[in-house]
Amino acid sequence: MTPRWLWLVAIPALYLADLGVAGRVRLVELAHDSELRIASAEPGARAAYAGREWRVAAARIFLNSPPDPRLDMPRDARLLFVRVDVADIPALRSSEPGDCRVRIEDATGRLWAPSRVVRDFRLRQSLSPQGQAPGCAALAAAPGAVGFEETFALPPDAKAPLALRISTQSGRPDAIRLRLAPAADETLR
Amino acid sequence: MIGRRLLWLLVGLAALAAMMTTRVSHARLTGPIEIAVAAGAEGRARSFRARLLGLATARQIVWREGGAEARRSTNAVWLMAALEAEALDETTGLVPLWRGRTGRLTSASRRLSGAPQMIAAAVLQPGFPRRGFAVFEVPEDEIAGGALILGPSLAPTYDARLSFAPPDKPIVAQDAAQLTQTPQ
Amino acid sequence: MSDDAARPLHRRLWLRLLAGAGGLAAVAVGWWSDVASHRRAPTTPIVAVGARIDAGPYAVTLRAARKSSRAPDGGAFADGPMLIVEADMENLTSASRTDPQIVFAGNGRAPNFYLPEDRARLGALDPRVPKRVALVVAVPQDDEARIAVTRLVFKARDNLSGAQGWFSPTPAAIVVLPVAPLDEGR
Repeated sequence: MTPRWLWLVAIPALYLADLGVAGRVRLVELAHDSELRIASAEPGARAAYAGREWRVAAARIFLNSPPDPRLDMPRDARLLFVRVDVADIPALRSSEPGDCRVRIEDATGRLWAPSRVVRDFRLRQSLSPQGQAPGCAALAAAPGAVGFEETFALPPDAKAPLALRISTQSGRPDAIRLRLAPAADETLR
Repeated sequence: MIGRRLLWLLVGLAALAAMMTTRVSHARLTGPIEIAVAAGAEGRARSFRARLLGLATARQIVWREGGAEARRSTNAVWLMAALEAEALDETTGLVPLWRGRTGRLTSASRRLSGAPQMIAAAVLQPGFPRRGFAVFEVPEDEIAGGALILGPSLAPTYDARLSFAPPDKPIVAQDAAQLTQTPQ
Repeated sequence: MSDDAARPLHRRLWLRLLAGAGGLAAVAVGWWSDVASHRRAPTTPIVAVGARIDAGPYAVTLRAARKSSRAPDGGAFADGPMLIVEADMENLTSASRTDPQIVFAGNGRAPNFYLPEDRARLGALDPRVPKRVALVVAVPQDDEARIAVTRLVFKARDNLSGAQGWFSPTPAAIVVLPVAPLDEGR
């Protein structure tokens, strides 16, 4: 007959099981906050992600020398303007682009979040030939939206090739990397 | 027979009680890992690096805002921490806190939200080092033996934050500290 | 039943009691709820103007009340004069707090808070740095303002995350303030 005290063994086992169950929830939470699987797309190509099709419609880089008073960034920094077209995929239309995260990735893997560097309203308008669109975070609020625009400030040591990395709450831990092929550096007018 | 059963029951209860009291809370488990930084040294957290350049105290903080002079007095002391910080690999937040001698955590004062050079709830971008001030309104006896805490957010989870020992040199005490707009 | 008869009386009684425990518990709960329903709700004490009230995370001392057509930051009120209540508040916790309005949650809509010293909205109260604050509430019908103060209870480990926090708002005190007449300007 098994000894009576053997049931005590169950306590550490249950304790570990409890930690495992609680830990799994934490890991899922962490995965939905991280970009672990990243699919790349060539410049100008469409990429399917989170029930939608994403494509970079415009990517322009502007130098800030001589320093432009309409920009809120250091003189040696560069302004990057990006417009992304977003199309619904009818068959996959399931998820909302909630908590949209857009960042610029350089060759060394550094990531820049958008920053509101263009103070001047008319300059901001002149950057968007198709008419100004709000940022990615506003996509969820606008069901019929076809695109979004973001501006970034990049330091001089940001290494080409640059790419746009996008992920949403429902899409993570997956993310997409849309490679950018901006034309030569422009100067603001 | 009864005695032995009772003994095992007590052993079991004691084991359960021990586990219940030693179980680490969720807040502790996911809360920030604090990295101590020696006086004058540069600290590195997961997402940013920072340096405490110096401390100063003032009775008043003065700056110019829209042509007029803004002046903030205090019934405690303004503690100004000059610091430099830069994001490492990705854009990150930076929230300064002062942990006083008694362990109380004071946030950078919101009374100075209009002042120039403030690093309170700043956004750090890689490649753009930032210099500025974190200013706290604290009782004078909380300064000695305190520490500057820099984290990516107010209560970071799964992340690190830095705890800076104050510099060895004595803290400069001013009557009125003038803050000016400096070009970046 | 022959088995039953073989057992001593106290063992049988134990079994019966055990079997009826649920019923006994139901009776006890019903009886106690009846008693509790006849108890009168504890009345909130009325505290004198200028007395320090322990409201949990904050200590509050109400000072004065006056009607005003302008907010303490200089802006005019859109819907006519409002009541400005001045109070001394101190953060007693171990961290800066941005929620002093929880102390006055018993006065209808959460009041707006100002720091008259800065002629600005109150952003936060830092620990051990007391401040004279001003809150804006609706003008009362009569010439007295009854301001309710709510207390919160500290819990070292909350049930969800094990972090410390303040919970269970309960009425702590009522302060009856005389209302000074309308002041123009300021």
